[in-house]
Amino acid sequence: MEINVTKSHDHVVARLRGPLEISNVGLARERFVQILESGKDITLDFAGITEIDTAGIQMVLAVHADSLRQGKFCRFVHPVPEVMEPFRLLRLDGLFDQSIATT
Amino acid sequence: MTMESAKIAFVQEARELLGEMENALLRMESDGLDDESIHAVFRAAHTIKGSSGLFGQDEIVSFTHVLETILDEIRSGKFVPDSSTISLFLECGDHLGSLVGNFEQNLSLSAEQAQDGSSLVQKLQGARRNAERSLVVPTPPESPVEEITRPVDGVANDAWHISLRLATDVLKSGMDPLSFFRYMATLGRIVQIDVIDDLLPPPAKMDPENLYLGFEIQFISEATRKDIEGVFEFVAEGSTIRILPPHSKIETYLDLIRSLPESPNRLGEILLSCGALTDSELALVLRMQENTATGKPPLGEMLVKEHFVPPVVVAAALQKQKVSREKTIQESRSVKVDVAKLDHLIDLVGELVIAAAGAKIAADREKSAPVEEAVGMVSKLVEEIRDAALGVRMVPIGEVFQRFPRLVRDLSMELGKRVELDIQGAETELDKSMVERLAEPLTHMVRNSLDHGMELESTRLAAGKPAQGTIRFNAYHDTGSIVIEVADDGAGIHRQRVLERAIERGIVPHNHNLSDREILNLIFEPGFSTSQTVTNLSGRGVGMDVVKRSIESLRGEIEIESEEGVGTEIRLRMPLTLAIIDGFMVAVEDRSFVVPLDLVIECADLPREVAIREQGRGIANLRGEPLPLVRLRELFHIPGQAPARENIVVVEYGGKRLGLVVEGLLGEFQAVIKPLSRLFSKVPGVGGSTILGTGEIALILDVPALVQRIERVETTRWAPTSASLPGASETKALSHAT
Amino acid sequence: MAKTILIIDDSASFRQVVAMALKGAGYDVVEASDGKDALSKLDGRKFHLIISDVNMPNLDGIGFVKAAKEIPAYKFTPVIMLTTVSGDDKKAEGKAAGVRAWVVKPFQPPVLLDAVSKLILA
Repeated sequence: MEINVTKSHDHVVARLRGPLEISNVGLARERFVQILESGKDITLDFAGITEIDTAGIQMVLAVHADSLRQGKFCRFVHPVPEVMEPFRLLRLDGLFDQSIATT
Repeated sequence: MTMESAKIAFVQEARELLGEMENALLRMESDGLDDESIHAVFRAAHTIKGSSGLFGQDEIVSFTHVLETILDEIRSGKFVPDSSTISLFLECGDHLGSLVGNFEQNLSLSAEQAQDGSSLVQKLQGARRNAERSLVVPTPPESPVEEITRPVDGVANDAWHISLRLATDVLKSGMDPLSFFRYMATLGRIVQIDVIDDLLPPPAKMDPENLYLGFEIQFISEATRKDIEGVFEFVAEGSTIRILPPHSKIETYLDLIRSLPESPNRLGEILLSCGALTDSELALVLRMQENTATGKPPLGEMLVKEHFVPPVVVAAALQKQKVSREKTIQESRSVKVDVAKLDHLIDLVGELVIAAAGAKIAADREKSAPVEEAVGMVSKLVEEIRDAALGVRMVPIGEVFQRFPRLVRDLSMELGKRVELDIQGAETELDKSMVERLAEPLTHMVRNSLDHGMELESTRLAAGKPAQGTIRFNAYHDTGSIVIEVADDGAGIHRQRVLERAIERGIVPHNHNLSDREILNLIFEPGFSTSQTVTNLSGRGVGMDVVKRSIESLRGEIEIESEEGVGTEIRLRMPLTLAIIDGFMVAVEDRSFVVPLDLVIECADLPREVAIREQGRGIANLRGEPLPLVRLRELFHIPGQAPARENIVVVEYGGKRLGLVVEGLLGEFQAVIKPLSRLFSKVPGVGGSTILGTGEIALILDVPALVQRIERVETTRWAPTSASLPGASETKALSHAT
Repeated sequence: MAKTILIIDDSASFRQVVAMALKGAGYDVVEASDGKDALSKLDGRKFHLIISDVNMPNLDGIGFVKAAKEIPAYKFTPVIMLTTVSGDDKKAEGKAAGVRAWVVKPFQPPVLLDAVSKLILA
């Protein structure tokens, strides 16, 4: 699990790589907390995700909700099939911003 | 009242309340919620809490307090329990029972009990939180439950509603809810999943390895409720899982309503229990009812108006409610009496019966009409007192049946079998001491039936039987006895396997010549077990032989019928009481014997020439039928010679007749059974003793044992070394002497 | 890619039957003959599920699960424990070690397959 962060003045893009699951959500959480502390709008890019489970989905939902609480937006983009399947199963696929084409 | 006796009363009361609580919970589980059951559970917790405080039982007080709080919410409709909460309550009942046990034996709380207690409290609180969330959080306009499950004019919506609030630690143990949903998709179609994230903390505060999400699922499937429950079996512990059945056809509702037990249910509950209404719908309608500006309209009216339930179903439910209410008005009034006091009373009545018999003998000697008349009157009254006193001790056999719903539930779960329990005749009465002593053999029979008789669901389906097996209890009175039937629709007894096992164990030789009935009866042979795998349920070395022995020690008989592939029925025929029997007194020389009157068919002379002719064979010819004879003189080794005239008392037991050869017929006699002294307990054919009015002791003959002896002799043709016909050889010797 | 299951049981014939059933259902299977042997297979490769007997020589199922949960890569691997009806005390130990899924021995292969597919669908 890797999170590459690119910051602009009001926006953070976090590119997630590798599996996001129970075994590494602890580490991921620390990174997400830092990102949220920046107080900027967030884009989570799922293009590099190889696997995601309930713990992983719960983690990004928490990021999403917290960001909205702060009055910022949080966009999910580039769902690969490995990500789309569980999101669709949970009827959460609507969270992805489909206006941005999958790379 | 001393502290000690108060304590005993408390412990007894608590046990009874816990028993009622368990019954009510099981009723809730099988029939759905009703006011009466909820109230019974609440009352149990409340009463125990109240009285345990008096004894400074703080542990019980604090535990019941938590229980009471949540029960109160159920009572007020704030919280609707599901099967997992009911299981939780059952565990709470067990825990309370163990705390009461501590108090009874002056033990302090063990570490294990403390652990159980705190984990139960946590689960209770968890269940409550979850219930609050799922019931209170969705506001009507956004509620997916409402939108999706609300039927149009009662036309079926066939989706199951599954509400999941899983234990927070499931992710840590490697269980991923996603995998359960994927599995569900193999059983049917997931129409909708709503992820409930109200409890999801901000990332800074969360433990990401805990599960905070809840799930509300709409699921269309032909799967059974148990299959759906089974999806979550590994995560069930500590979780709140609610499975609401889909609407099914109106006819089904009507049938279910008709078959509901009579209890004063509320309309909503009747509809809930037949599945015509889901509890979320009910909650919604109740909220709507509250919010109606123009007073509260009747619920039935609202349900029809808002298209939740078709009018015909509401009408059927209202009719049911009316009938149930009328029935409960006739509630019985009763007084509680200490069993010890009752036993004392029965003992006194026993003495009274003996004393009255003594008075009668004395009066007969007096030959005075007024005395005889007075004594006759007293005897008649004593007889009535006896019957009335025994009547007081009569309790419904339901007392022993009531332990079986829980047993069947727990065991069938453990064995992975689907078994339904059908109890009939629970109101049939018999003596309390009998009820207590029947509990163990019956328990063993149920275990046996569950373990060996009942097939796995897959096997049943393959055999074209309903997936769910049935164990049926029935009890009824039949000419002075109570008949108890335990029947199952399981695999039946496999004759061939029984025979093979019996041969293997050396119970019968290879070249046997057994009838079907004799083969079946082999299962009552000591040490016999046909199960291929010994499980810990009935394979503890306690076989049907032990059951048979304990039934016979209660002067009962046991009979088995079984059809392979169809099922097995075991029938017990028991006397109504152990204390007193109507006897027929006979004599040999100066000795008296009592034969249970209900087993006596007739008395006949045994003419000397016949006696001589029949000697050596031990069989008389009674109107063309062979009648095996047992000479009491020989049986009890009474010295001296038989007189010229002998009598036969023909007795019948279990369809077999036997002639008892005696030398005097003394008439009917009420025998108060006294336990046998050790001297006689080994004497074959003696079931007990009684004291005569003259103070002498008479032996009560154990007719079943005598009949069996004869039977065994007849059926052990293949085993010539076994016992010879009783009395036969001695009779022969006697014939030489005469 | 097929999911991999580690099956641990001291009976070779039992492993053989179970492995055959699991392979037939589309899983990859790695076998170990006891807890100690199984630990040696936990060399970093991914196991989607571990199926372990309780009573085994060298290292029993409970001991194995405890040790496996200490290895970060296997801390969250789901475990199905095979127990006997009478193994309640073991069950308590297993629960304490984080085992939630139990299948009672003896069972027919479909019962185990069903349990497996609840946790990881092939």
